[in-house]
Amino acid sequence: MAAYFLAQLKRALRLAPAQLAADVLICVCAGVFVYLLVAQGALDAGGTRYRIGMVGDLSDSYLGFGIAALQEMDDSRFMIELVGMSEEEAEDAFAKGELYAVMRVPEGLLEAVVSGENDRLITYTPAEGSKGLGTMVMGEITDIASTLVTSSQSAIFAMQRVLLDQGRGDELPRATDRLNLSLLNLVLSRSGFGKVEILGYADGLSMELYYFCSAFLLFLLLAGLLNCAFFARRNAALPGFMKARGVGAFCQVLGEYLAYLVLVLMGLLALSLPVALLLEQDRIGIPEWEGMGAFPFWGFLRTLFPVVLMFAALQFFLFEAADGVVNGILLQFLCGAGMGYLAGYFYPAAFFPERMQRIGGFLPAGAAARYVEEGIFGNDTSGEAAVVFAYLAVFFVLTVMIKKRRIGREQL
Amino acid sequence: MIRDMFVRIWLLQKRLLKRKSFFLLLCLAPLLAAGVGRLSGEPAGIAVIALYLPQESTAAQENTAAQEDAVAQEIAQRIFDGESVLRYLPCENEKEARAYVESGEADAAWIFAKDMGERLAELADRRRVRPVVTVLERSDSVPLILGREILTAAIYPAFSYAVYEGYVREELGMEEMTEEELRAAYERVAVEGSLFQLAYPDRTTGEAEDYGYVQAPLRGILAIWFTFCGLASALWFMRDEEKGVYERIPVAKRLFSSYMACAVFLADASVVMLFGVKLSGVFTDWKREVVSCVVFAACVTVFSNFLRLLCRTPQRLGMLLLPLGALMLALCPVFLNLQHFRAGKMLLPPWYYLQSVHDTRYLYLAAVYTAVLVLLSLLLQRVRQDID
Repeated sequence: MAAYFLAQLKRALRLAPAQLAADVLICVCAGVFVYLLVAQGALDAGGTRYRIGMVGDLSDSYLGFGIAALQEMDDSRFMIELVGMSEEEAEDAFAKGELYAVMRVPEGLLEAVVSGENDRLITYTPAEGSKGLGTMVMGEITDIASTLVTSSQSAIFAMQRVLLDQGRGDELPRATDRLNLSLLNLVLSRSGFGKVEILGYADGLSMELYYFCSAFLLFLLLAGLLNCAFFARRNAALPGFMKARGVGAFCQVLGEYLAYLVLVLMGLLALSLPVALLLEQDRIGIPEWEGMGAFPFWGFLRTLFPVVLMFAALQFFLFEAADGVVNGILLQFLCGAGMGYLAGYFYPAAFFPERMQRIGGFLPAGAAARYVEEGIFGNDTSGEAAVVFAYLAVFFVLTVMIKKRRIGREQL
Repeated sequence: MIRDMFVRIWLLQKRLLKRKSFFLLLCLAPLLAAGVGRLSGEPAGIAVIALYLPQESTAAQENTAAQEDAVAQEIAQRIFDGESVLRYLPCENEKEARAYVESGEADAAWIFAKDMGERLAELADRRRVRPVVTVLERSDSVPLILGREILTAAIYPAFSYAVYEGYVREELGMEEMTEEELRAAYERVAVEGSLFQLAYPDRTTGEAEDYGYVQAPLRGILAIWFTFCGLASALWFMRDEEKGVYERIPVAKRLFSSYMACAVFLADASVVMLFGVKLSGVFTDWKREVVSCVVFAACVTVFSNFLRLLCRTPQRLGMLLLPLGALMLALCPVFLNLQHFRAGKMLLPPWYYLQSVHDTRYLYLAAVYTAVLVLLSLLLQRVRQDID
């Protein structure tokens, strides 16, 4: 068994340079990605300001005033930048990916608003190719803007109706202007409608730490893709031959699994070193670890160890079950991406319906996330760890069963 | 020659589908899509809000209470009406709402004041805005900032009505007007509806897409899976090359063979992807989906084989899979759409496919991309041949 393990380890170590090169490639990609984000101002302290191109006739003084008021006085100015431009400029900027959306103001919009017809709609085209979270949020924002405008319209028209009914039509212009101003004031002071109390409960991860953990978990979950060469070019007759030499299915799986585990751990280490360096230099802003350098990160890696064992067993099982490395790659991606999505590695799990959250939490990826979350807070993780180890045992046993079946088939 | 080609396609197809594991593997993708599509119908939101709106009235304060009830009902209706990116937990009392936030079951609580009518009257009389709702939050976040704006929009009509009421009575000196008269004038001219309309470049409106954000990334996940199918087919071809399956074909003509092998592989994956998109609920119409899928398949075929030529060994191509997957997840509009990195996005086939759903311009761009890659592949093959 030890000899078999050493042979497998030798095979794994032969793949190590290529695997380390891939890790370096991942780090370089991530580095370039972050560098470009910083260079383009996307990670500024004020956060990203979404640039929206406004196309159409904005020369009307009221409309121009409205846009200027939004950009100068309203809270939305911290998130949205409205830029007036011609149709051609907007098309060009949109094609270059410089705009988050284009808003087209139709001719006669203000007349339609003043008359209450509202039959001229502002159309907006999002840069997102189809409906997604971004377009839904944008839909909410436009609904909010519509409510503010239509409610103000209703109040003004009602006041005008009352004045006309009373035969005081001559007062209309002045009264309209004054009520308009009162309503504009109300819109600008709308943050005062509610009193905000931040309780500051810290039993959940900050978004930064959540995505930091998710990135590591996703890397480990998809590490099978990185190490697929380990499962290629395997001699189909070898398991039977080894069995004949006294190395049974269990010992074969254990030897191969341990060698594969070394490969996964090397990948994790290669990725962790630059991350630790960046943390040490305070270049990665994680609120919970602020000013602590890379110290908590080493603890995080220790916490991650059972998850590495379990995910490596899962990948091992998937490659054995898939019958061939080509099928194995597809299965790895589908299971990794699917489980990662349901377990909240991409969107936080809390965004999903409750039943989906429960299913996601039950899956190996979800169990790993729960275990890591508890581990980071230093809570008792025995329950979560038991689930992780149970999954590890299940995948291991299943792999042994597949190997046994394969050996049996060969011997027939 | 065409007959020979069909025979070869048929043989390749037979070889693929003979493997049960490949067939079962293909079935997994639509299964995932259908499962998520089915589950996404249940209530979900980017933040959970515990909501307490006082609605009980006492005999002593019947008039004010009745008014408060009407305002509360109006606000509740505005909050609960239609689709929202927030999920609400109605509460019986303030304590319950607070407990939801403290226990972490809700991200925030909106607790409306019991004297809401009084505060609105104060606004009407003195134009003084006093908060009518206490917003309890665990911590500040982008979804909760959006939530506060949604709350504002729900309250604003009541506030603007109070301003109108106060203005007519105080400023215009019509104190004798009753509440009913004022309300009747308001109802007669009340304006409703949206001033905005989402319109994609192909003039499809937002209403045509009847699905939520939970389903939205499924098209992107399937597109990346499809690209992996292309890469897997390139690996399959390389393995066959090593086994000597293509020994009789000169190296100079192997590019066409590899395209054919990949196309056969992707033909099955295309059918699966179309079904996956249909089952996930993000489907548009057959014509558009089929055309997009065919162009995407051509794009992926050429892209995978270009990488095959570039990497030269299955080991190197395998090494590229994870970095490539990470790049596709980050740069293609699957979960989020980054405003930057246009050049990087244009190198990835799923980006063209995902952008082409409502903009045919990207189909032409994908065709140009495919043509450029074919030329580069021919050049690369020539260089390889010369070196070998």
